[in-house]
Amino acid sequence: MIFRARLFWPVAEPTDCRANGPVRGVVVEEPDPQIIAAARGGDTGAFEDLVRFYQADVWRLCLHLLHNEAQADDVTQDAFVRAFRFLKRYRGDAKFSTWLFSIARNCAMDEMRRAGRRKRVAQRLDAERPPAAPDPSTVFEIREAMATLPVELREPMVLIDMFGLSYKDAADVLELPQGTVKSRVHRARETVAGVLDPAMLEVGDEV
Amino acid sequence: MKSDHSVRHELSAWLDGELDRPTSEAVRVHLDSCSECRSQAQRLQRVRQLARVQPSVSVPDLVDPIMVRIGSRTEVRRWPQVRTATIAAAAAALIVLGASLPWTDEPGDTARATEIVHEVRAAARQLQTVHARFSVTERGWHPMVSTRRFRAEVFFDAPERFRLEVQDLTAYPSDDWPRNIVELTAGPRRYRIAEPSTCPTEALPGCVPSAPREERTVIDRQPFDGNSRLPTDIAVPLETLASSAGVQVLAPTRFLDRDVQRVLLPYRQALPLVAALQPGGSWREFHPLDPVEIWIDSATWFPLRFEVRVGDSPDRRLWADRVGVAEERAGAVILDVRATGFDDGSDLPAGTFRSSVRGAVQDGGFTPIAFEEVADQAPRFTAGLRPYRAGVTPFGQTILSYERGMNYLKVSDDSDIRSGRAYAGPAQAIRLGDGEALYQPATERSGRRIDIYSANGHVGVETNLPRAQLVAVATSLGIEGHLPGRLRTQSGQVIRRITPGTDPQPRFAFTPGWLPSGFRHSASLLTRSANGRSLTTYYQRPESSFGGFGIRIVQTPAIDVLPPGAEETLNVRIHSTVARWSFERSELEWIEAGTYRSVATADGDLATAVQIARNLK
Repeated sequence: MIFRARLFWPVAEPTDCRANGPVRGVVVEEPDPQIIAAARGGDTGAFEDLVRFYQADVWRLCLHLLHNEAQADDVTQDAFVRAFRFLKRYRGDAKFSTWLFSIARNCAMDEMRRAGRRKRVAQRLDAERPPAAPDPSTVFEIREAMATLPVELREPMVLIDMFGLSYKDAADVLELPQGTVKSRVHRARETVAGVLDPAMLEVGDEV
Repeated sequence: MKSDHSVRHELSAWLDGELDRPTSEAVRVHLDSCSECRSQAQRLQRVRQLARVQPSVSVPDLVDPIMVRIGSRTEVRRWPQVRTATIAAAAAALIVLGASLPWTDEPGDTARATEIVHEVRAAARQLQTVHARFSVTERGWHPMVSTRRFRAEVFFDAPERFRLEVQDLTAYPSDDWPRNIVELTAGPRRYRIAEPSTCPTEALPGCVPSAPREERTVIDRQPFDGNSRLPTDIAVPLETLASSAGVQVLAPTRFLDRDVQRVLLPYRQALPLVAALQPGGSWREFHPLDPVEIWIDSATWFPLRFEVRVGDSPDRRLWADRVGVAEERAGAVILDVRATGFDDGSDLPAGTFRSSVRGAVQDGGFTPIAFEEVADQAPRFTAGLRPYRAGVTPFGQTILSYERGMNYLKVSDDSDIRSGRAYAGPAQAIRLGDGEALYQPATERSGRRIDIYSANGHVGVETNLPRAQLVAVATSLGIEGHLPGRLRTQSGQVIRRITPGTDPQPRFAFTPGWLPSGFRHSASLLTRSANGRSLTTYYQRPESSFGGFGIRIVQTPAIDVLPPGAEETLNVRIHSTVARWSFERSELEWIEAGTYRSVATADGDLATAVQIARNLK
């Protein structure tokens, strides 16, 4: 069991205010190809560099898919171990980050299947749920709203909105046609917009 | 060009800049004239913006464990990770638990329990070899496989040669089911385990892992290595019976023509024994308070038989739902392990502990050196244990180890000073000679240990001897250790250890009026940060704390709203307020009169947490 200190963090304010017109976020960077080449050649030092470079992104992705830090820890490790094992198969036709994310996402799916059974408790008790207390933070509300999305809608939204992936890269990670990614991210946002407090959405900047 | 609302489903892609130029233009034109779509675009844009904001969740550093798993590094520093809480609270419902918990504190014949603990310790010291066979019956592993049967064979030559073979005799519904065959072979320097590849139990029988078996070999392991620990409680239940607290003595009986002592204790205490035959493979889970009855041979203190039964803790049904165990009748035997033959003191066949290097290889990097070369670092008192192996690790640690029978003692010396991080954890600050040191009970990964930090570096002493003897050994090193008065973390928190009874308690802090049997105060940490003050208190079983940190209570004044919690939570009434139980963190949290309080149990036992919470004063 990992020790967790209970800490509070200040409510974060939206930092991305580039609201005027279409924006494509570029969040995830690509590593130096020489590092990848060295790691493929068995240089564990180079692989360690890749782990350092990507562990935060992979962990965040796992956290967004699993909503559980301990599981994110485990799955992040699984993902890198698997990536190390399959590194020789990485031919460089997709971005390295995309390839790594798709491994992480598959590991997270495995974990979800494992954990799926545990959900029953929450579902059974749903009927008795008391009214939810208002949460002071919009950031948490959106996280909660996203958490209620079915996984096939949540995944593209996490990859595109949180990690700034293009539709093509997200399609590579999810092994889906780009058109499907496009319609799913749209449905995801519509669903989230539908469950959020309308007041939260009104304060948005003019499009 | 689209002029109707059909552009609506293009809005997201338009916001993301993912449309081709004509379609993008069509959307823009439509928005100019349609206020309904415009307002929808605004809402989607706002969702997009909000989703991009990352809360300041600090990310753990997983480089070490990853590099260990790919085999390029051998030791994980198992320091506690501190970081911010989880995201997104979710479904909650109110559950009601009984007001009293009689099952957690059975009064027993404590004098007899103490005697048994002493006898077990004496037997461990004298043990040389054990060869035993067990038959194992397990129930409730999978809905389609109600009962599984195994045969296990154990060889042990103290202190560090161990072999365990588990054969699966179960009649599975088809050949698609993986057979739970486990093989562990260990000598002083090499440890190898082979087990079926992990497939989640729920995924069976459809899941086909890429390889049927997984193997792992540790080479050049250091003496009594924590990452390749030997499950020796199957020879003498030394850690299981490290303390008499929580142990109920039942009437003696006869079994296999021998005089047998019977003891009853909760699973969370019996874990070192129950898990001994399960170092790998796939097994069912047990609730921390499920009762375990152990039959021990009163001549050799070998565990001839043990069984785990379904407990009657009020949260057990919730727990069973969560871990995917079908409903079980209280009292039913769900794991039954019986010796079918055992022999101690005889010579074991040559080659019993020999193993080849297979599977994933982890290099422990331990280089032996002559004991005399490092004799100046030896403790003056070793509790009668004899010099065993000495050497250095790739991390520059010097290790001296001692043994006698099953007992071991390990002194490691390095210049890597990390008192700060241990200081902020559950370890207990103790007086050691004229100085101070940190003490931690035994866990899955380590024996009982004392860490001494001084100007010359760090010395750790680890053992399966009782705490009192460990303290005597550590004292005889003659090092005057010191602990920081307070600690400033990178995030600007200032952490100070306070001693109950000596230092004033913060006014907002309550103390528990009830703790489960055997738990004692180990550490109180007062944290100050920009967000105010907070007190974290740990309680552990002083000898063994398998399963984690024990019990942790956090109290923070001036908090009005519970922080966002884990995905799965339950509401539980505590006095006049409603507390939230997080399955993931095993933590019960509530706010009472503007003060945040939480009770966490390392083994995830809700009923115990509720009982503690209701008795905080």
